[in-house]
Amino acid sequence: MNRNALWLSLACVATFAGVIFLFKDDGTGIETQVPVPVPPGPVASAPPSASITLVRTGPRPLLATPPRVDDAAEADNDQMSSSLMSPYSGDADARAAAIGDLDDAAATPQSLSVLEQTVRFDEVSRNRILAVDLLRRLAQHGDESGRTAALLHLALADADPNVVTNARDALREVER
Amino acid sequence: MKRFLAFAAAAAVTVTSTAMADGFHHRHTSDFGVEVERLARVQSLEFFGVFAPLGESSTLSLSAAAADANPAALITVAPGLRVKVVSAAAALTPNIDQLVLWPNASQPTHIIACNEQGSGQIGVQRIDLKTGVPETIISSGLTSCDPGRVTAWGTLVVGEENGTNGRLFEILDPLHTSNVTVPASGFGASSDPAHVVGRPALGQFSFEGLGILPNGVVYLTDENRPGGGGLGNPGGAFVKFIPTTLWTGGTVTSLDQSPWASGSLYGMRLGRNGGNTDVGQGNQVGRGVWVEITGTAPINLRAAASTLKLTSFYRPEDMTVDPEVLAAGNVRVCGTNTGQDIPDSTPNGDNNWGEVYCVTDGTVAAASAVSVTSGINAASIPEFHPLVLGNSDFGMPDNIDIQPGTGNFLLNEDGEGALYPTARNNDIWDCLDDGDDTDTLSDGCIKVMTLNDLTAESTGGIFDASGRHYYVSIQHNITGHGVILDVTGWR
Repeated sequence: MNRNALWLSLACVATFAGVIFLFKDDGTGIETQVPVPVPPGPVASAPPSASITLVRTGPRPLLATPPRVDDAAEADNDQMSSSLMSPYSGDADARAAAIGDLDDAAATPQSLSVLEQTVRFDEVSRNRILAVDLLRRLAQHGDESGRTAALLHLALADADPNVVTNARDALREVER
Repeated sequence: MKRFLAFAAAAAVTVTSTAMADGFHHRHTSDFGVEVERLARVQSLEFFGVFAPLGESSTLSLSAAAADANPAALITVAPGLRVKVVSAAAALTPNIDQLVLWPNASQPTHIIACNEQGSGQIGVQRIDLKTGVPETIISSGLTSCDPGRVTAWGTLVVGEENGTNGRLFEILDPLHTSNVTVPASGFGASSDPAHVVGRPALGQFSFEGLGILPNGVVYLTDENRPGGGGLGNPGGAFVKFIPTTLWTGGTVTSLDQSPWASGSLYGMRLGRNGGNTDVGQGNQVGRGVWVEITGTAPINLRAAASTLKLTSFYRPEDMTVDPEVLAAGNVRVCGTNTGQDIPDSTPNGDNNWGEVYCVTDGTVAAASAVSVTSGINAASIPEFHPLVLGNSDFGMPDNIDIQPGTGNFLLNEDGEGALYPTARNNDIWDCLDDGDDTDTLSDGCIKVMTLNDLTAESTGGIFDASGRHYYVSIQHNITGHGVILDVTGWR
């Protein structure tokens, strides 16, 4: 085969492939769907070392009480940073605000329940980081029951490396 | 040979023209907008003073232990810039918003900071720039302290971002005024009325943007979102206060000498066509009028904005006076309307990424004059234009400052990147002003800083007079206390 014939053959093959590509139809008349990136999820299950009371909930935490805001801010909804207080931003910011409203000086069954639900189920890693950080601060005031440490251990299994790092550093502080 | 070359050139032109004509109905193979962005990056040293811009926003979120060990690591800066910690003291309040260089931006000894928390918490602190030690100026009574400025007459002004309960306060001698309490609402006396007073003459709304002229005229914005209190209700308005007696120079020795003791208020309403009647939804750009706001102080400015059909915006935030324009005797103030960039992957996603705008108001003399006819102060004409339009990488601009020397705008992003499918941090952007081209928009922006804390935002970014020190607060960061950084290395 001479050189011109070779180039001609290659051109024909390329043209044919291009035509096939341009006119291919997946049969639905709809463009092929692009895979949606799946966010790193919270922990799926507790590690064996964790000894905590499981709270059965749905896939996302349902808070017993709405986040507390000052009366004036209630009218304005802008008291805090928009990234934490916006009521129009879905549940995520409200859940973050609720964590911020928890007492960081003393753990209560209710606050630990909220934090556990966040660590386990909140789909927003920022919120899980906030929960881990509050657990860290609670542990600084004592952790006789071992529940805060257990929840921090739970967070070590998180799919998000930021949450894991925060939990690991918090445990180092607690165990120091 | 010459004839051959001429023929070859003509043939090449013909072939090229034919190819271009043939490709007319196809999309361009190159993207001109991408090319403009590339040029801004390549020329970042010349136009922005950094060796190169940052690329993607950081996705890192430091732990409290890591941030406490090295608070400077809370931020990643563009090559060439350096970060120094001004203060990360445990006593530094955690929600510091705007920063003020005291006594001035030329030779500051202190930063004075507004703390955006409840009335039971510390409202205002001063931080020694040499030691980083914070001390309390207002210990309680302020709700969501946000804006702060130095006035030309030597006082400090702070304000509350607190709905229709928001107030402005003036402070005299803030380095020697400590632990003052103010009433949680209203304009009753503070515990130190010689040094801290409320200013009812400037009305009440959710204060954030303050653009103060040396003569005491001040532009104010209401950080209000549309739809508050009812579907279709307006967002935040843009208001001007003109003192009864303009300040002509010097410093006050007593707060009752302040030009803010009394004055008149005007609201910006865009639309002049048809005898100033092309007003309402659909008209948010261009020239307008100043509508007189009447009533007994303190006037509820949010209610007045609704009644007077003032033009409203989606959560106006910080504002700055353009010093170069002011030096030429004219008024141009630029600010941010933060919008709402909740990702479109959530039900409430708006993809409203906000904007940076500028308002001109003629000469200083005209902007400071009062000539009211039929409720309109016709002494000057406000004109509003966007400067930067947000996007998914640059959403919800909040604090703003103009870098001395370059005239560039530094913008603190307060976006919802943490809620994106791949969580990202808030950034700080550096934008050129509009040049001599025909549009009114910034000629380009690059990302110069990105946080490493998904729970935080940067706030209050402000330059000293040299333009070489950029002070910024890392608000509600993971450490639980305030962090103020000094970013240098600007070329």
